[in-house]
Amino acid sequence: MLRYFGRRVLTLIPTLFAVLTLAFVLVRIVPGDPALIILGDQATPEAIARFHSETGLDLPIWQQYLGFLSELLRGDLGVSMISNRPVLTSIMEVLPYTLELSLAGVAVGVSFGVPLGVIAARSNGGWADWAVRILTLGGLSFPAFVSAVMLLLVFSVWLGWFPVISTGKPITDPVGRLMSLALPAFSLGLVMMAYVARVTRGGMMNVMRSDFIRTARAKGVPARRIVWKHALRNVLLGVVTFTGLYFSVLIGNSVLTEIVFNRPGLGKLVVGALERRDYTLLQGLVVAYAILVVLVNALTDLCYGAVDPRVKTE
Amino acid sequence: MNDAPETGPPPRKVRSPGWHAIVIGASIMVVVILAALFAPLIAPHDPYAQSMLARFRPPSAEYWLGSDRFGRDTFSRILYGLRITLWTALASTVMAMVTGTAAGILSGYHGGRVDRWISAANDVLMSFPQMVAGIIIVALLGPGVTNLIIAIAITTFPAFYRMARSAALALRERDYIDACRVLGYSDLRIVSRHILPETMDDMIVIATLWLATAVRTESSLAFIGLGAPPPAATLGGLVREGFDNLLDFPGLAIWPSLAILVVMIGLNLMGDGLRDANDPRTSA
Repeated sequence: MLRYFGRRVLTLIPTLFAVLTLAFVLVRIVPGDPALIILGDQATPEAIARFHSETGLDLPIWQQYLGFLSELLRGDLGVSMISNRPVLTSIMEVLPYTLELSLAGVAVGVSFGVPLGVIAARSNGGWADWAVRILTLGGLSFPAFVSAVMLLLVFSVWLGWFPVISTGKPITDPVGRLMSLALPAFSLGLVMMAYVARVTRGGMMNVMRSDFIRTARAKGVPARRIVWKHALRNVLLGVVTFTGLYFSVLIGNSVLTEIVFNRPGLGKLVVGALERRDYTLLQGLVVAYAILVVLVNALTDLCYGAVDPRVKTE
Repeated sequence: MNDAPETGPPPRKVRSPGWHAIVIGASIMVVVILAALFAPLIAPHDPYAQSMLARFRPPSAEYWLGSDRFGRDTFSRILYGLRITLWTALASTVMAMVTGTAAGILSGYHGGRVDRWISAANDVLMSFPQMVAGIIIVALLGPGVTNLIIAIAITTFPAFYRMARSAALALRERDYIDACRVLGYSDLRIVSRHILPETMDDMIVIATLWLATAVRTESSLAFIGLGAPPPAATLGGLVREGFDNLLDFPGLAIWPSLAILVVMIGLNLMGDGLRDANDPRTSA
Protein backbone atom coordinates (compact mmCIF):
# COMPACT_ATOMS: atom_id res chain seq x y z
CA MET A 1 0.00 0.00 0.00
CA LEU A 2 2.77 2.41 0.95
CA ARG A 3 4.63 1.55 -2.22
CA TYR A 4 1.50 2.23 -4.21
CA PHE A 5 1.14 5.55 -2.44
CA GLY A 6 4.80 6.37 -3.00
CA ARG A 7 4.53 5.65 -6.72
CA ARG A 8 1.45 7.82 -6.93
CA VAL A 9 3.29 10.72 -5.31
CA LEU A 10 6.25 10.27 -7.68
CA THR A 11 3.99 10.64 -10.73
CA LEU A 12 2.80 13.97 -9.30
CA ILE A 13 6.26 15.51 -9.22
CA PRO A 14 6.29 16.75 -12.86
CA THR A 15 2.90 18.42 -12.34
CA LEU A 16 4.06 20.01 -9.12
CA PHE A 17 7.22 21.22 -10.82
CA ALA A 18 5.16 22.80 -13.59
CA VAL A 19 2.96 24.48 -10.99
CA LEU A 20 5.98 25.94 -9.22
CA THR A 21 7.28 27.29 -12.51
CA LEU A 22 3.86 28.75 -13.25
CA ALA A 23 3.79 30.45 -9.85
CA PHE A 24 7.19 31.97 -10.58
CA VAL A 25 6.19 33.15 -14.06
CA LEU A 26 2.75 34.49 -13.03
CA VAL A 27 4.22 36.87 -10.53
CA ARG A 28 6.71 38.16 -13.08
CA ILE A 29 4.36 38.73 -16.01
CA VAL A 30 2.09 40.93 -13.96
CA PRO A 31 2.22 44.43 -15.41
CA GLY A 32 3.92 47.04 -13.27
CA ASP A 33 7.22 47.14 -11.40
CA PRO A 34 6.72 45.93 -7.81
CA ALA A 35 9.18 48.61 -6.71
CA LEU A 36 6.87 51.37 -7.98
CA ILE A 37 3.89 49.73 -6.30
CA ILE A 38 5.63 49.55 -2.94
CA LEU A 39 7.72 52.71 -2.99
CA GLY A 40 5.13 54.81 -4.84
CA ASP A 41 5.27 56.71 -8.13
CA GLN A 42 7.54 59.40 -6.68
CA ALA A 43 10.35 56.97 -5.81
CA THR A 44 13.85 58.05 -6.84
CA PRO A 45 15.81 55.86 -9.27
CA GLU A 46 18.29 55.12 -6.47
CA ALA A 47 15.53 53.85 -4.19
CA ILE A 48 14.16 51.67 -6.98
CA ALA A 49 17.61 50.25 -7.69
CA ARG A 50 18.13 49.55 -3.99
CA PHE A 51 14.76 47.78 -3.83
CA HIS A 52 15.66 45.69 -6.87
CA SER A 53 18.97 44.58 -5.43
CA GLU A 54 17.45 43.87 -2.02
CA THR A 55 14.73 41.66 -3.47
CA GLY A 56 17.00 40.07 -6.07
CA LEU A 57 14.94 41.49 -8.94
CA ASP A 58 18.10 42.83 -10.65
CA LEU A 59 19.48 39.33 -11.22
CA PRO A 60 19.01 37.54 -14.57
CA ILE A 61 15.69 35.71 -14.72
CA TRP A 62 17.26 32.22 -14.67
CA GLN A 63 19.19 33.07 -11.50
CA GLN A 64 15.99 34.30 -9.89
CA TYR A 65 14.30 31.05 -10.91
CA LEU A 66 17.08 28.85 -9.50
CA GLY A 67 17.08 30.89 -6.31
CA PHE A 68 13.30 30.51 -6.02
CA LEU A 69 13.52 26.72 -6.47
CA SER A 70 16.43 26.22 -4.07
CA GLU A 71 14.74 28.32 -1.39
CA LEU A 72 11.56 26.36 -1.92
CA LEU A 73 13.37 23.05 -1.44
CA ARG A 74 14.56 24.34 1.90
CA GLY A 75 10.97 25.17 2.78
CA ASP A 76 11.44 28.91 2.33
CA LEU A 77 8.74 30.81 0.45
CA GLY A 78 10.46 34.17 0.81
CA VAL A 79 9.21 37.26 2.63
CA SER A 80 6.17 39.37 1.89
CA MET A 81 6.89 42.43 -0.23
CA ILE A 82 4.56 44.54 1.85
CA SER A 83 4.84 43.40 5.44
CA ASN A 84 8.32 41.81 5.28
CA ARG A 85 6.95 38.79 7.18
CA PRO A 86 8.02 35.32 6.02
CA VAL A 87 5.36 34.07 3.59
CA LEU A 88 5.43 30.59 5.08
CA THR A 89 4.61 31.97 8.53
CA SER A 90 1.62 33.92 7.18
CA ILE A 91 0.34 30.82 5.40
CA MET A 92 0.86 28.42 8.30
CA GLU A 93 -0.93 30.87 10.61
CA VAL A 94 -4.18 30.73 8.67
CA LEU A 95 -3.96 27.24 7.13
CA PRO A 96 -5.53 25.53 10.19
CA TYR A 97 -8.61 27.78 9.85
CA THR A 98 -9.11 26.90 6.18
CA LEU A 99 -8.55 23.20 6.85
CA GLU A 100 -10.90 23.27 9.84
CA LEU A 101 -13.60 24.94 7.76
CA SER A 102 -13.12 22.69 4.71
CA LEU A 103 -13.11 19.49 6.78
CA ALA A 104 -16.21 20.66 8.63
CA GLY A 105 -17.81 21.32 5.23
CA VAL A 106 -16.93 17.79 4.12
CA ALA A 107 -18.37 16.44 7.38
CA VAL A 108 -21.64 18.27 6.77
CA GLY A 109 -21.74 17.17 3.14
CA VAL A 110 -21.13 13.49 3.85
CA SER A 111 -23.07 13.10 7.09
CA PHE A 112 -26.20 14.66 5.59
CA GLY A 113 -25.68 13.62 1.98
CA VAL A 114 -25.22 9.87 2.45
CA PRO A 115 -28.38 9.28 4.55
CA LEU A 116 -30.40 11.49 2.21
CA GLY A 117 -29.17 9.49 -0.77
CA VAL A 118 -29.98 6.18 0.91
CA ILE A 119 -33.44 7.37 1.88
CA ALA A 120 -34.09 8.56 -1.67
CA ALA A 121 -32.92 5.27 -3.18
CA ARG A 122 -35.10 3.21 -0.80
CA SER A 123 -38.11 5.35 -1.57
CA ASN A 124 -37.33 5.30 -5.36
CA GLY A 125 -40.02 7.44 -6.91
CA GLY A 126 -41.93 7.84 -3.63
CA TRP A 127 -42.48 11.10 -1.81
CA ALA A 128 -39.17 10.86 0.07
CA ASP A 129 -37.32 10.50 -3.24
CA TRP A 130 -39.03 13.61 -4.57
CA ALA A 131 -38.35 15.54 -1.38
CA VAL A 132 -34.65 14.68 -1.61
CA ARG A 133 -34.65 15.61 -5.29
CA ILE A 134 -36.05 19.05 -4.58
CA LEU A 135 -33.65 19.46 -1.67
CA THR A 136 -30.61 18.55 -3.77
CA LEU A 137 -31.75 20.85 -6.59
CA GLY A 138 -31.94 23.66 -4.05
CA GLY A 139 -28.56 22.73 -2.59
CA LEU A 140 -26.89 22.73 -6.00
CA SER A 141 -28.34 26.13 -6.81
CA PHE A 142 -26.85 28.04 -3.88
CA PRO A 143 -23.53 29.73 -4.62
CA ALA A 144 -21.40 29.60 -1.46
CA PHE A 145 -21.76 33.31 -0.76
CA VAL A 146 -25.55 33.34 -1.22
CA SER A 147 -26.07 30.50 1.25
CA ALA A 148 -23.59 32.15 3.62
CA VAL A 149 -25.36 35.52 3.51
CA MET A 150 -28.79 33.91 3.90
CA LEU A 151 -27.75 31.68 6.82
CA LEU A 152 -26.06 34.61 8.52
CA LEU A 153 -29.15 36.76 8.06
CA VAL A 154 -31.64 34.18 9.32
CA PHE A 155 -29.78 32.36 12.09
CA SER A 156 -27.43 35.05 13.40
CA VAL A 157 -29.14 38.36 12.73
CA TRP A 158 -32.84 37.49 12.97
CA LEU A 159 -32.91 34.47 15.29
CA GLY A 160 -29.67 35.19 17.14
CA TRP A 161 -28.87 31.49 17.55
CA PHE A 162 -25.28 31.77 16.32
CA PRO A 163 -22.61 34.46 16.70
CA VAL A 164 -22.37 36.94 13.80
CA ILE A 165 -18.58 37.02 13.91
CA SER A 166 -17.27 33.49 13.84
CA THR A 167 -13.67 33.89 14.96
CA GLY A 168 -11.74 34.48 18.12
CA LYS A 169 -12.97 31.45 20.01
CA PRO A 170 -9.98 29.58 21.49
CA ILE A 171 -9.71 25.81 21.30
CA THR A 172 -10.34 25.73 25.08
CA ASP A 173 -13.92 26.80 24.42
CA PRO A 174 -15.04 23.87 22.25
CA VAL A 175 -18.76 24.70 22.41
CA GLY A 176 -18.21 28.31 21.39
CA ARG A 177 -15.83 27.25 18.64
CA LEU A 178 -18.27 24.67 17.34
CA MET A 179 -21.11 27.19 17.42
CA SER A 180 -19.05 29.68 15.43
CA LEU A 181 -18.05 26.96 12.96
CA ALA A 182 -21.58 25.59 12.45
CA LEU A 183 -22.98 28.19 10.04
CA PRO A 184 -19.86 28.54 7.86
CA ALA A 185 -19.51 24.75 7.64
CA PHE A 186 -23.16 24.26 6.76
CA SER A 187 -23.08 26.97 4.11
CA LEU A 188 -19.91 25.51 2.60
CA GLY A 189 -21.15 21.90 2.81
CA LEU A 190 -24.57 22.56 1.29
CA VAL A 191 -23.57 22.03 -2.36
CA MET A 192 -21.49 19.01 -1.44
CA MET A 193 -24.41 17.53 0.48
CA ALA A 194 -26.53 17.75 -2.66
CA TYR A 195 -23.86 16.08 -4.81
CA VAL A 196 -23.16 13.35 -2.24
CA ALA A 197 -26.88 12.60 -1.96
CA ARG A 198 -27.03 12.16 -5.75
CA VAL A 199 -23.91 10.00 -5.92
CA THR A 200 -25.21 7.84 -3.05
CA ARG A 201 -28.67 7.50 -4.55
CA GLY A 202 -27.31 6.50 -7.96
CA GLY A 203 -24.86 4.04 -6.43
CA MET A 204 -27.53 2.48 -4.20
CA MET A 205 -29.90 2.00 -7.12
CA ASN A 206 -27.18 0.10 -8.99
CA VAL A 207 -25.97 -2.00 -6.06
CA MET A 208 -29.48 -2.99 -4.94
CA ARG A 209 -29.95 -4.68 -8.32
CA SER A 210 -26.85 -6.86 -7.96
CA ASP A 211 -26.79 -10.58 -7.26
CA PHE A 212 -25.23 -10.53 -3.81
CA ILE A 213 -28.03 -8.31 -2.55
CA ARG A 214 -30.58 -10.77 -3.94
CA THR A 215 -28.73 -13.59 -2.20
CA ALA A 216 -28.67 -11.69 1.09
CA ARG A 217 -32.42 -11.08 0.75
CA ALA A 218 -33.05 -14.72 -0.07
CA LYS A 219 -31.27 -15.96 3.03
CA GLY A 220 -33.34 -13.60 5.16
CA VAL A 221 -30.96 -10.80 6.13
CA PRO A 222 -33.09 -7.93 7.49
CA ALA A 223 -33.63 -5.14 4.96
CA ARG A 224 -32.11 -2.53 7.24
CA ARG A 225 -28.88 -4.56 7.50
CA ILE A 226 -28.76 -5.14 3.75
CA VAL A 227 -29.04 -1.45 3.01
CA TRP A 228 -26.78 0.03 5.66
CA LYS A 229 -24.11 -2.67 5.75
CA HIS A 230 -23.91 -4.66 2.54
CA ALA A 231 -25.08 -2.15 -0.03
CA LEU A 232 -23.75 1.06 1.49
CA ARG A 233 -20.21 -0.30 1.80
CA ASN A 234 -20.12 -0.72 -1.95
CA VAL A 235 -21.51 2.74 -2.54
CA LEU A 236 -18.98 4.40 -0.26
CA LEU A 237 -16.15 3.94 -2.75
CA GLY A 238 -17.97 6.29 -5.09
CA VAL A 239 -18.56 8.72 -2.23
CA VAL A 240 -14.87 8.67 -1.27
CA THR A 241 -13.84 9.32 -4.87
CA PHE A 242 -16.28 12.17 -5.08
CA THR A 243 -15.18 13.63 -1.74
CA GLY A 244 -11.56 13.61 -2.87
CA LEU A 245 -12.43 15.34 -6.14
CA TYR A 246 -14.70 17.81 -4.45
CA PHE A 247 -12.40 18.70 -1.58
CA SER A 248 -10.43 21.07 -3.77
CA VAL A 249 -13.66 22.77 -4.85
CA LEU A 250 -14.51 23.22 -1.18
CA ILE A 251 -11.11 24.74 -0.46
CA GLY A 252 -11.76 27.15 -3.34
CA ASN A 253 -15.29 28.03 -2.24
CA SER A 254 -14.09 28.60 1.31
CA VAL A 255 -12.71 31.92 0.03
CA LEU A 256 -16.29 33.22 -0.07
CA THR A 257 -17.31 31.66 3.22
CA GLU A 258 -14.31 33.27 4.90
CA ILE A 259 -15.23 36.67 3.53
CA VAL A 260 -18.88 36.51 4.59
CA PHE A 261 -18.22 35.12 8.07
CA ASN A 262 -15.07 37.20 8.44
CA ARG A 263 -12.91 34.19 9.28
CA PRO A 264 -9.15 34.16 8.79
CA GLY A 265 -7.92 31.69 6.16
CA LEU A 266 -6.10 31.14 2.88
CA GLY A 267 -8.95 32.72 0.93
CA LYS A 268 -8.84 35.98 2.81
CA LEU A 269 -5.06 35.94 2.48
CA VAL A 270 -5.33 35.58 -1.33
CA VAL A 271 -7.82 38.41 -1.67
CA GLY A 272 -5.70 40.58 0.62
CA ALA A 273 -2.52 39.78 -1.32
CA LEU A 274 -4.23 40.74 -4.58
CA GLU A 275 -5.61 43.96 -3.16
CA ARG A 276 -2.21 45.01 -1.81
CA ARG A 277 -0.35 43.59 -4.84
CA ASP A 278 1.84 41.52 -2.55
CA TYR A 279 3.28 39.31 -5.28
CA THR A 280 5.65 37.25 -3.16
CA LEU A 281 2.79 36.34 -0.84
CA LEU A 282 0.65 35.53 -3.89
CA GLN A 283 3.41 33.33 -5.30
CA GLY A 284 3.62 31.45 -2.01
CA LEU A 285 -0.16 31.03 -1.89
CA VAL A 286 -0.25 29.60 -5.43
CA VAL A 287 2.35 27.04 -4.35
CA ALA A 288 0.45 26.29 -1.12
CA TYR A 289 -2.87 25.71 -2.91
CA ALA A 290 -1.27 23.42 -5.49
CA ILE A 291 0.48 21.33 -2.83
CA LEU A 292 -2.78 21.12 -0.90
CA VAL A 293 -4.74 19.88 -3.91
CA VAL A 294 -2.04 17.38 -4.89
CA LEU A 295 -1.88 16.03 -1.32
CA VAL A 296 -5.64 15.67 -1.12
CA ASN A 297 -5.67 13.73 -4.40
CA ALA A 298 -2.96 11.38 -3.12
CA LEU A 299 -4.81 10.92 0.18
CA THR A 300 -7.99 10.08 -1.71
CA ASP A 301 -6.11 7.24 -3.39
CA LEU A 302 -4.96 6.05 0.00
CA CYS A 303 -8.55 6.02 1.22
CA TYR A 304 -9.63 3.70 -1.57
CA GLY A 305 -7.65 0.92 0.07
CA ALA A 306 -9.36 1.49 3.39
CA VAL A 307 -12.84 1.40 1.88
CA ASP A 308 -12.30 -1.22 -0.79
CA PRO A 309 -9.76 -3.99 0.02
CA ARG A 310 -9.74 -5.01 -3.65
CA VAL A 311 -7.69 -1.91 -4.54
CA LYS A 312 -4.66 -3.09 -2.54
CA THR A 313 -4.15 -6.25 -4.54
CA GLU A 314 -4.10 -4.44 -7.85
CA MET B 1 -28.83 -3.20 -20.58
CA ASN B 2 -30.92 -4.98 -23.13
CA ASP B 3 -34.36 -5.31 -21.61
CA ALA B 4 -36.38 -4.71 -24.77
CA PRO B 5 -37.80 -7.87 -26.32
CA GLU B 6 -36.57 -8.68 -29.81
CA THR B 7 -40.03 -9.30 -31.19
CA GLY B 8 -43.60 -8.35 -30.29
CA PRO B 9 -45.58 -5.15 -30.73
CA PRO B 10 -43.58 -1.91 -30.98
CA PRO B 11 -43.21 -0.28 -27.55
CA ARG B 12 -45.60 2.50 -26.67
CA LYS B 13 -44.04 5.89 -27.20
CA VAL B 14 -42.98 7.26 -23.83
CA ARG B 15 -41.72 10.67 -23.01
CA SER B 16 -38.04 10.56 -22.28
CA PRO B 17 -36.99 10.78 -18.64
CA GLY B 18 -36.14 14.27 -17.55
CA TRP B 19 -38.89 15.70 -19.73
CA HIS B 20 -40.58 17.57 -16.88
CA ALA B 21 -37.31 19.00 -15.64
CA ILE B 22 -36.42 20.28 -19.11
CA VAL B 23 -39.81 21.95 -19.57
CA ILE B 24 -39.81 23.64 -16.16
CA GLY B 25 -36.15 24.64 -16.40
CA ALA B 26 -36.54 25.96 -19.94
CA SER B 27 -39.66 27.95 -18.98
CA ILE B 28 -37.79 29.60 -16.12
CA MET B 29 -34.89 30.40 -18.40
CA VAL B 30 -37.13 31.81 -21.14
CA VAL B 31 -38.64 34.25 -18.65
CA VAL B 32 -35.20 35.17 -17.27
CA ILE B 33 -33.69 35.65 -20.73
CA LEU B 34 -36.63 37.77 -21.90
CA ALA B 35 -36.36 39.89 -18.77
CA ALA B 36 -32.67 40.43 -19.45
CA LEU B 37 -33.13 41.12 -23.16
CA PHE B 38 -35.90 43.64 -22.65
CA ALA B 39 -34.43 45.14 -19.48
CA PRO B 40 -34.37 48.67 -21.00
CA LEU B 41 -38.13 48.40 -21.69
CA ILE B 42 -39.12 46.71 -18.42
CA ALA B 43 -36.93 48.58 -15.95
CA PRO B 44 -38.96 51.32 -14.27
CA HIS B 45 -35.83 53.39 -13.59
CA ASP B 46 -32.39 54.05 -15.03
CA PRO B 47 -30.21 51.50 -13.16
CA TYR B 48 -27.40 54.03 -12.82
CA ALA B 49 -29.44 57.11 -11.92
CA GLN B 50 -28.54 58.23 -8.42
CA SER B 51 -30.84 60.22 -6.18
CA MET B 52 -29.75 61.43 -2.78
CA LEU B 53 -33.41 62.00 -1.89
CA ALA B 54 -34.37 58.38 -2.52
CA ARG B 55 -31.69 56.51 -0.54
CA PHE B 56 -32.63 53.19 1.11
CA ARG B 57 -36.31 53.39 0.15
CA PRO B 58 -38.43 50.40 1.17
CA PRO B 59 -40.30 48.54 -1.60
CA SER B 60 -43.10 50.72 -2.97
CA ALA B 61 -45.10 51.37 -6.14
CA GLU B 62 -42.26 53.55 -7.38
CA TYR B 63 -39.33 51.40 -6.23
CA TRP B 64 -40.67 47.83 -6.53
CA LEU B 65 -37.82 46.27 -4.57
CA GLY B 66 -36.61 49.40 -2.82
CA SER B 67 -33.51 51.49 -3.55
CA ASP B 68 -29.85 51.30 -2.53
CA ARG B 69 -27.56 53.72 -0.73
CA PHE B 70 -27.23 55.89 -3.84
CA GLY B 71 -30.98 55.90 -4.39
CA ARG B 72 -30.70 53.55 -7.38
CA ASP B 73 -33.66 51.27 -8.09
CA THR B 74 -32.88 47.69 -6.98
CA PHE B 75 -35.30 46.02 -9.40
CA SER B 76 -33.81 47.83 -12.41
CA ARG B 77 -30.31 46.98 -11.27
CA ILE B 78 -31.21 43.30 -10.93
CA LEU B 79 -32.57 43.29 -14.50
CA TYR B 80 -29.36 44.82 -15.82
CA GLY B 81 -27.29 42.52 -13.62
CA LEU B 82 -29.01 39.54 -15.26
CA ARG B 83 -27.70 40.70 -18.63
CA ILE B 84 -24.08 40.66 -17.49
CA THR B 85 -24.48 37.36 -15.65
CA LEU B 86 -26.18 35.55 -18.55
CA TRP B 87 -23.84 36.94 -21.19
CA THR B 88 -20.72 36.13 -19.18
CA ALA B 89 -21.93 32.61 -18.39
CA LEU B 90 -22.94 31.87 -21.98
CA ALA B 91 -19.84 33.32 -23.61
CA SER B 92 -17.41 31.66 -21.19
CA THR B 93 -19.12 28.27 -21.43
CA VAL B 94 -19.17 28.37 -25.24
CA MET B 95 -15.52 29.43 -25.25
CA ALA B 96 -14.59 26.57 -22.89
CA MET B 97 -16.71 24.10 -24.88
CA VAL B 98 -15.11 25.01 -28.22
CA THR B 99 -11.51 25.08 -26.99
CA GLY B 100 -11.93 22.14 -24.58
CA THR B 101 -13.60 19.94 -27.20
CA ALA B 102 -11.03 20.82 -29.86
CA ALA B 103 -8.08 20.19 -27.53
CA GLY B 104 -9.67 17.03 -26.13
CA ILE B 105 -10.34 15.50 -29.54
CA LEU B 106 -6.87 16.48 -30.75
CA SER B 107 -5.37 14.89 -27.64
CA GLY B 108 -7.42 11.71 -27.73
CA TYR B 109 -7.35 11.16 -31.49
CA HIS B 110 -3.73 12.09 -32.08
CA GLY B 111 -2.27 10.58 -28.91
CA GLY B 112 1.49 10.50 -28.38
CA ARG B 113 3.43 13.63 -27.59
CA VAL B 114 0.61 16.06 -28.35
CA ASP B 115 -1.62 14.23 -25.88
CA ARG B 116 1.08 14.20 -23.22
CA TRP B 117 1.72 17.93 -23.44
CA ILE B 118 -1.90 19.04 -23.49
CA SER B 119 -2.77 16.63 -20.68
CA ALA B 120 0.14 17.94 -18.62
CA ALA B 121 -1.05 21.52 -19.09
CA ASN B 122 -4.54 20.44 -18.09
CA ASP B 123 -3.17 18.74 -14.96
CA VAL B 124 -1.48 21.97 -13.96
CA LEU B 125 -4.74 23.85 -14.42
CA MET B 126 -6.51 21.28 -12.29
CA SER B 127 -3.98 21.67 -9.46
CA PHE B 128 -5.86 24.76 -8.36
CA PRO B 129 -9.31 25.00 -6.87
CA GLN B 130 -11.54 26.43 -9.61
CA MET B 131 -12.50 29.48 -7.58
CA VAL B 132 -8.89 30.29 -6.67
CA ALA B 133 -7.78 29.92 -10.30
CA GLY B 134 -10.62 32.24 -11.33
CA ILE B 135 -9.69 34.84 -8.74
CA ILE B 136 -6.02 34.85 -9.68
CA ILE B 137 -6.62 34.92 -13.45
CA VAL B 138 -9.12 37.80 -13.23
CA ALA B 139 -6.79 39.72 -10.96
CA LEU B 140 -3.87 39.25 -13.35
CA LEU B 141 -5.87 40.09 -16.48
CA GLY B 142 -7.41 43.14 -14.90
CA PRO B 143 -11.06 44.18 -14.60
CA GLY B 144 -13.53 43.99 -17.49
CA VAL B 145 -16.23 41.71 -18.81
CA THR B 146 -14.05 40.20 -21.55
CA ASN B 147 -11.32 39.28 -19.07
CA LEU B 148 -13.96 37.82 -16.79
CA ILE B 149 -15.23 35.64 -19.64
CA ILE B 150 -11.70 34.46 -20.45
CA ALA B 151 -10.97 33.67 -16.79
CA ILE B 152 -14.15 31.63 -16.32
CA ALA B 153 -13.55 29.83 -19.63
CA ILE B 154 -10.04 28.84 -18.55
CA THR B 155 -11.30 27.40 -15.26
CA THR B 156 -14.07 25.47 -17.08
CA PHE B 157 -11.78 24.15 -19.83
CA PRO B 158 -10.74 20.91 -18.02
CA ALA B 159 -14.33 19.64 -17.79
CA PHE B 160 -14.76 19.70 -21.58
CA TYR B 161 -11.22 18.66 -22.32
CA ARG B 162 -11.38 15.48 -20.26
CA MET B 163 -14.78 14.47 -21.62
CA ALA B 164 -13.82 15.06 -25.27
CA ARG B 165 -10.47 13.34 -24.83
CA SER B 166 -11.93 10.15 -23.38
CA ALA B 167 -14.65 10.12 -26.04
CA ALA B 168 -12.08 10.52 -28.82
CA LEU B 169 -9.86 7.82 -27.26
CA ALA B 170 -12.74 5.37 -27.28
CA LEU B 171 -13.96 6.28 -30.78
CA ARG B 172 -10.47 6.03 -32.27
CA GLU B 173 -10.47 2.26 -31.74
CA ARG B 174 -13.85 1.71 -33.41
CA ASP B 175 -14.04 -0.26 -36.66
CA TYR B 176 -15.75 2.44 -38.67
CA ILE B 177 -12.94 4.87 -37.92
CA ASP B 178 -10.48 2.22 -39.09
CA ALA B 179 -12.58 1.88 -42.22
CA CYS B 180 -12.34 5.63 -42.79
CA ARG B 181 -8.56 5.42 -42.51
CA VAL B 182 -8.41 2.54 -44.96
CA LEU B 183 -10.51 4.58 -47.36
CA GLY B 184 -7.82 7.20 -47.17
CA TYR B 185 -9.86 9.96 -45.50
CA SER B 186 -7.79 12.76 -44.07
CA ASP B 187 -7.54 13.13 -40.29
CA LEU B 188 -9.39 16.43 -40.55
CA ARG B 189 -12.30 14.76 -42.33
CA ILE B 190 -12.41 11.84 -39.87
CA VAL B 191 -12.36 14.17 -36.88
CA SER B 192 -14.84 16.73 -38.18
CA ARG B 193 -17.32 14.37 -39.86
CA HIS B 194 -17.12 11.20 -37.81
CA ILE B 195 -15.76 11.92 -34.33
CA LEU B 196 -16.97 15.43 -33.51
CA PRO B 197 -20.67 14.73 -34.22
CA GLU B 198 -20.52 11.64 -32.00
CA THR B 199 -19.32 13.68 -29.02
CA MET B 200 -21.65 16.66 -29.48
CA ASP B 201 -24.62 15.26 -27.50
CA ASP B 202 -22.47 14.76 -24.41
CA MET B 203 -20.76 18.10 -24.81
CA ILE B 204 -24.04 20.01 -24.99
CA VAL B 205 -25.34 18.26 -21.89
CA ILE B 206 -22.17 19.12 -19.97
CA ALA B 207 -22.33 22.66 -21.30
CA THR B 208 -25.82 23.11 -19.85
CA LEU B 209 -24.66 21.82 -16.47
CA TRP B 210 -21.57 24.00 -16.58
CA LEU B 211 -23.61 27.09 -17.45
CA ALA B 212 -24.87 26.94 -13.88
CA THR B 213 -21.30 26.68 -12.61
CA ALA B 214 -20.33 29.67 -14.76
CA VAL B 215 -23.17 31.70 -13.21
CA ARG B 216 -21.93 30.62 -9.79
CA THR B 217 -18.33 31.62 -10.59
CA GLU B 218 -19.30 34.95 -12.15
CA SER B 219 -21.51 35.99 -9.27
CA SER B 220 -18.92 34.81 -6.73
CA LEU B 221 -16.17 36.83 -8.40
CA ALA B 222 -18.47 39.84 -8.51
CA PHE B 223 -19.20 39.34 -4.81
CA ILE B 224 -15.46 39.43 -4.04
CA GLY B 225 -15.19 42.62 -6.10
CA LEU B 226 -13.59 41.08 -9.20
CA GLY B 227 -16.67 41.18 -11.45
CA ALA B 228 -17.61 43.66 -14.15
CA PRO B 229 -16.26 47.01 -12.92
CA PRO B 230 -18.65 49.61 -11.44
CA PRO B 231 -20.96 51.32 -12.09
CA ALA B 232 -22.20 48.20 -13.93
CA ALA B 233 -24.78 46.33 -11.89
CA THR B 234 -23.92 42.66 -11.33
CA LEU B 235 -25.95 40.22 -9.27
CA GLY B 236 -22.96 39.21 -7.13
CA GLY B 237 -22.00 42.85 -6.70
CA LEU B 238 -25.56 43.72 -5.63
CA VAL B 239 -25.47 40.98 -2.98
CA ARG B 240 -22.16 42.41 -1.78
CA GLU B 241 -23.59 45.92 -1.53
CA GLY B 242 -26.56 44.49 0.34
CA PHE B 243 -24.27 42.47 2.58
CA ASP B 244 -22.47 45.63 3.63
CA ASN B 245 -25.83 47.00 4.84
CA LEU B 246 -27.19 43.65 6.03
CA LEU B 247 -28.22 44.69 9.52
CA ASP B 248 -30.26 47.72 8.44
CA PHE B 249 -31.50 46.86 4.95
CA PRO B 250 -31.49 43.08 4.46
CA GLY B 251 -33.71 43.37 1.38
CA LEU B 252 -30.80 44.74 -0.63
CA ALA B 253 -29.02 41.38 -0.22
CA ILE B 254 -32.12 39.17 -0.39
CA TRP B 255 -33.56 40.25 -3.76
CA PRO B 256 -30.44 39.80 -5.90
CA SER B 257 -29.75 36.51 -4.06
CA LEU B 258 -33.18 35.28 -5.09
CA ALA B 259 -32.48 36.33 -8.69
CA ILE B 260 -29.27 34.27 -8.68
CA LEU B 261 -31.17 31.32 -7.19
CA VAL B 262 -33.87 31.46 -9.87
CA VAL B 263 -31.25 31.44 -12.65
CA MET B 264 -29.34 28.59 -10.99
CA ILE B 265 -32.47 26.51 -10.46
CA GLY B 266 -33.58 27.03 -14.06
CA LEU B 267 -30.17 26.02 -15.46
CA ASN B 268 -29.77 23.07 -13.10
CA LEU B 269 -33.23 21.75 -13.97
CA MET B 270 -32.47 21.99 -17.68
CA GLY B 271 -29.06 20.38 -17.27
CA ASP B 272 -30.39 17.53 -15.13
CA GLY B 273 -33.25 16.92 -17.51
CA LEU B 274 -31.04 16.88 -20.58
CA ARG B 275 -28.63 14.52 -18.87
CA ASP B 276 -31.40 12.12 -17.87
CA ALA B 277 -32.84 12.23 -21.38
CA ASN B 278 -29.40 11.62 -22.89
CA ASP B 279 -28.47 8.79 -20.53
CA PRO B 280 -31.58 7.19 -18.99
CA ARG B 281 -29.49 4.98 -16.69
CA THR B 282 -28.67 7.86 -14.38
CA SER B 283 -32.31 8.47 -13.51
CA ALA B 284 -34.78 6.22 -11.76
